[in-house]
Amino acid sequence: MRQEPLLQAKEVDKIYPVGGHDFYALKNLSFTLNRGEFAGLIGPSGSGKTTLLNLLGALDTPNRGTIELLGEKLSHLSANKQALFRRLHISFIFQTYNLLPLYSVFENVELPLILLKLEPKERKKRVHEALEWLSLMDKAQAKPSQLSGGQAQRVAIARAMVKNPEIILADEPTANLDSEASHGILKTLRQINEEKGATFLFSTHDDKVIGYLKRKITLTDGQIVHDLSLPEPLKKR
Amino acid sequence: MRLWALLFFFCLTGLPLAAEPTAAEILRRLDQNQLYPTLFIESTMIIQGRKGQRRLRSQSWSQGREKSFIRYLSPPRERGTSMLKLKDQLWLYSPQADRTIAIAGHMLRQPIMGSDLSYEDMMERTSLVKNYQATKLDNEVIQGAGSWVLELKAKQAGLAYPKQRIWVDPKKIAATKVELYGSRGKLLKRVTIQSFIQTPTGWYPSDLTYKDMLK
Amino acid sequence: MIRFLLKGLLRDRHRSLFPLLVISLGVALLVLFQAWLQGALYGTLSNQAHFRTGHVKLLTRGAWAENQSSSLDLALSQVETLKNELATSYPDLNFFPRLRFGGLLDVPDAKGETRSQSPILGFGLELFNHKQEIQAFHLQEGLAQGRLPQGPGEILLTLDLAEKLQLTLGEKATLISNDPNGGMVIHNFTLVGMVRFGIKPLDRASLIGDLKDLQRALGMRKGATEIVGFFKEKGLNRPRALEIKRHFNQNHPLSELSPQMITLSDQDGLDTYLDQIESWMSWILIFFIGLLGFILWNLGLINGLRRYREMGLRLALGEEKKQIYQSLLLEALVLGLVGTFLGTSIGLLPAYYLQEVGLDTTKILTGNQNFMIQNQVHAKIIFSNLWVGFFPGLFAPFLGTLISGLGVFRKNTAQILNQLESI
Ligand SMILES: Nc1ncnc2c1ncn2[C@@H]1O[C@H](COP(=O)(O)OP(=O)(O)OP(=O)(O)O)[C@@H](O)[C@H]1O
Ligand SMILES: [Mg+2]
Repeated sequence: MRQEPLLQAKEVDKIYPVGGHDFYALKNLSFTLNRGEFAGLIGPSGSGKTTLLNLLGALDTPNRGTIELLGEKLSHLSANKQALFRRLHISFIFQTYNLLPLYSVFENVELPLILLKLEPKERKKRVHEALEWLSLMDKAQAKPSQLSGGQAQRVAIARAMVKNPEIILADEPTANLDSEASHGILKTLRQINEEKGATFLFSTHDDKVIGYLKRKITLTDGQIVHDLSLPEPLKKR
Repeated sequence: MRLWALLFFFCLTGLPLAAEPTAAEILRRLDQNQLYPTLFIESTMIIQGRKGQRRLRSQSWSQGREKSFIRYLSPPRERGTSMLKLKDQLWLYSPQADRTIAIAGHMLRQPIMGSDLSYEDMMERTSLVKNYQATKLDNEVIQGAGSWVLELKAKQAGLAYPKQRIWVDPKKIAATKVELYGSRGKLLKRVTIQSFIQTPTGWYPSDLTYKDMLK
Repeated sequence: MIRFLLKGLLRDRHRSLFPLLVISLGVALLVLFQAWLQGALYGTLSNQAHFRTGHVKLLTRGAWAENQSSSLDLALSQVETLKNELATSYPDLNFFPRLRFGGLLDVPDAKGETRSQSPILGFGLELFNHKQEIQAFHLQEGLAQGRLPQGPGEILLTLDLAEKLQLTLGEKATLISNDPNGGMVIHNFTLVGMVRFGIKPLDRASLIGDLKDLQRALGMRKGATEIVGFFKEKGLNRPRALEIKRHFNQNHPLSELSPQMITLSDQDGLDTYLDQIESWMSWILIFFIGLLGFILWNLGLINGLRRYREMGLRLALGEEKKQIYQSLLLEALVLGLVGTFLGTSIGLLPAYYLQEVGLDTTKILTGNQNFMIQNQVHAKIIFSNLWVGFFPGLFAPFLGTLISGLGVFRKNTAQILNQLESI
């Protein structure tokens, strides 16, 4: 496994003003994520998982400390530069899929490529590739409303992987899915991680997800209390 | 519009005269001055218009209050134009158009021949005693002579002039000035009588000026 | 990306169809309203000019001062000379002497005695040699029965008056009026035609005859109560009318019977009327922009909420806030443009109908009989109908989006996404 730091948080504080005083959602938090990892933030509700994911994804800025992606300090970048970083290097998978209901599955997956201003031919090729990976070829022209939850989340995964990002941040991706669909999706995600070398960071308290993780980072009250990397190879299921 | 009219009178017959100082009595005498069994008048009306004077000569015959007939003699344009009054009806005859035209309604308020006298004014030969209640106001001095002043209020609605004021020469017991008022108390017309001729029953105006105070 | 957004726009009826309807409808109403107002107001004005005021008008100082437009004793004299003077001094106008008088029309029975009678409003117009006066009074179009007068002693009456008098074509009636000196005029005429102007105050009791004929009957051979002047081209030119008025009045004496020039604006309070038309138009425009803007702003707010997911996602996918804002504004502009085109076309259709067919106002208008308001009011399509809609049509959705879009962009990206999880 390559030990190449991709994402680094250093002494990060995130403060929300609540009822007149400061609430530390994250406190003096530091950690490093390497290229190719399949890691998860676990911890009880309210421990700061989503908050951290947002900071790492350049959706928000910390009150103190720095976030570095590919050696660039995200928090020092302008809003436009941050957007550029998201466009090029970061993908999100959400608990609620966030598909655009007006657009077909194909078009939903195509959107990140349009934002990258790729040629239509190239876009088509890559979208088909992603849809094949997720066994969605027969649903290409369907609308999100015609999909099951599992199918919808697979479309969201296709959308996340289609631009070959440096990192995919997934916030509770299985929270709305049943066990069977969850396992199917998790297997696919592992496959993408292993075969395409995509880096994943999850936020979850779902045991099914935790079972697939190669690294478990436990958060409590905005601080990391455990950071456990499992030895390779992972036990087969 | 400034305009006045002169009338000359010639022939009359009538009743003997008497004298009483009360308002009602004066009114009765004034009525008498106007009323004759038959009356023939030849007159000239001088109309003062914007563009100068016009003279209209006419002859008229009347019987009591109810019947009268006027025929214009000159100028040539008006020659032969006649008017006939029977009770409260009035007709106009025009020889040029060979038409007999009833004068009624709206037309009654129109001026006759561009004068300040309307057809209605001409129709108004009603009895003062019958139609008006008179009160005596303070005497006034007009042209060096004392004058009785009467205020007349209409007894019933529908008269052309609901209020009149009459200045009476006490010697002749004849009106020397008459003011005619509208329903809102506005002075509409003023008649001044400059001279009279004596008749067996009283004094008949021979020279009078008729002025529309609204023009 | 534009294609992508366009797809969304077309598929989302709340975003395209509904605002488009609002814009189209608003613009259509504005265009129709403008054409209507134009037609009604300027139609009234044009009638007023044709029947009463002219673009300029000559009358005696006395008649103007005493507001006696049909007083024959205050009429102009030597009208032919005056008319020639006007025609040489101001060749850009046509001048027509007119005789306006009051009187009584009396219809005889078999014995020659009065059968019916009515007061009339008389017009002596140059009917025999001048097409223009026939056109100005819409006599040909208005002719309901019979024909126009062709020789002396022939008159037209309005249909209403003829019916009231129970006078039929070919019958004689007697005009009773006064000459300029107050002398009595009693003159027989033959009814040859009945007209309908479609304008209440005129239809009530108008008598129209040839100028020369009526001059003779009324004993004023060279007189007329007025000379009206009309610009030969393009209708009323207010500054030029004023210039002519000044020039003419400087060169004529001030006596009661000397001629005085007045303009259309001087009469019947038309000056304020003209100014009002102009200020009304701008207020209506502002009102429509405001109203449409308000509706579209609210639509924008609702759409903003509905599109929260799209905005959040596009932000997460790395689009810049500025870009998203611009794309929203672009969308508004496209909608505004299409809506305005549609609305203008939609508005012009009924406007065209109202221009050609008109609307009967006799049941709507009962009071004011002074203005020459036609019973049949027509709209008038003017050039500015084509562009007036673009003000509200483009501004309103643009402003609406500008304001509603701000809501999204004040918010932090993470907050927007956070909210999505709870939707
Ligand atoms: N915008 C905000 N304003 C105030 N407090 C906030 C805000 N966002 C998050 N918090 C607080 O910060 C803490 C961490 O929230 P966060 O969403 O990161 O938790 P989490 O670990 O993702 O929880 P869950 O497992 O329920 O998703 C919580 O106590 C939350 O109430
Ligand atoms: Mg969370």
